[in-house]
Amino acid sequence: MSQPTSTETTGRYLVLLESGSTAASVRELDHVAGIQVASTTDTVAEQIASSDGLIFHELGIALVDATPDQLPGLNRAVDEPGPVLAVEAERVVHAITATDQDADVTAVDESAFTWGLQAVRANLSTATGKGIRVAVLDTGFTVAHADFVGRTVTTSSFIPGEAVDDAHGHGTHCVGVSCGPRKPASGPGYGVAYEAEIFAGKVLSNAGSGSDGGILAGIEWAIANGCAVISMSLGAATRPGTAYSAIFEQAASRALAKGTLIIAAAGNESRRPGSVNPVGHPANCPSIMAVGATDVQGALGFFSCGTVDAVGAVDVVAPGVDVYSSWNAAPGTKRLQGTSMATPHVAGVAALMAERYGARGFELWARLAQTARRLPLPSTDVGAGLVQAP
Amino acid sequence: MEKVVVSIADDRLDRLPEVVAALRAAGLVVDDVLEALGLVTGAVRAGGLAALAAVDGVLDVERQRGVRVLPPEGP
Repeated sequence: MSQPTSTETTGRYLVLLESGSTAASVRELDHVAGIQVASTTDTVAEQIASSDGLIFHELGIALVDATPDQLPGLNRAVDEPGPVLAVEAERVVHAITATDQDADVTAVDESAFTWGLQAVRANLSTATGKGIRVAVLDTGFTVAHADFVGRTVTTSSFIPGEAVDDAHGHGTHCVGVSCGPRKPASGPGYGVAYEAEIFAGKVLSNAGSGSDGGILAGIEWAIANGCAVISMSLGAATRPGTAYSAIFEQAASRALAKGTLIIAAAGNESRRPGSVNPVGHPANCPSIMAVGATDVQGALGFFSCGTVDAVGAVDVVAPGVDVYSSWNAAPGTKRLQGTSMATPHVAGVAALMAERYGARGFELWARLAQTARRLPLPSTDVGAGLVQAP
Repeated sequence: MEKVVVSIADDRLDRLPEVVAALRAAGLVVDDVLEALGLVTGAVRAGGLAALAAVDGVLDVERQRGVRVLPPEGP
């Protein structure tokens, strides 16, 4: 018999019965221990009241009163062939009391890796993203960046009249977080999936703007190239009650079916604690994973959009405050904040998982959510929590 | 002209060129046919969305939105 040592018990016993053997079990309990049980299907109250216990049919479990002299018979029945499989003392259970969790205020040492890599535990993972294609749809990429020498980089511009080279800087920062180096010539390692194949699609101009058509063309390009992950640190603000785009939802759902997971920034329109604004377009589509931003102490970024409506949920969070990564101009790196920076952290972790488990599409989504570290914050702000490398 | 995105029903994706031809006939100036996504992007004269939505095999028609790099920028 399993006898909890430190837990409070009631003096009653739970008896696990072989499935589909209720009648035999009733006879057996009487036979081995002289225990008369009623069934939850019995409708006669007196019969239940006069018995020594109850059988829960759906569960295949009996709850019985056993006197000290009946207990040896029960325990013997577990060891002998028959319908009684296990006996446990019934425990007393209480409502779970919430306790405050101290914020982790320890300063993070960034000499080897950024705090973001450490928060998602990428620095502890043996996965590298090798063999996985990650598309970053943004303002392009600084192809000649010294930290990316020797890397496989495929580019395409969907902005008429502009080459893929990133005159803005935002795209280069996002590529750095998702796929940048772990051992750059100077400064901390900042890339999550540091051996992934980079697909940098320019869907936002050097001025930082684009339109739905260019983004969809970029998504199509990424799917055609077999990218397992698309990172999109872009969007348009929405108002509460705004419906998501049926077309982007369809695109994302078709992408998932083809093994491509789209991850997008939730948006930076909140001004917490005073105002929480809804997840933007297109991250508010159910089939696009929406990412909020946390800081080094695990608190939510003041700007991070929240779940305001029945749809348009924040799905996960990742580091998005004081994020160090590559930049298009000297000295080649910069610190930025925003859900834009959180998104490529998730994309990088997704690439590590795609490599480690061979997961694609919705399985990848499930693994990201399943393993995310739960945070003591509202699910409407952080979804499943802080993503964690495999 | 308005920039639009048109989505095609799943059961018409194997006959995408026919639907695209019908969209052209209904006034769509096609930018891109995104086969993997089952979408067509392009432009239509103001007020021309309803004609596109009426094309057989069309699921949805939406005006394209402007999308931006997300502020705030910088630390």
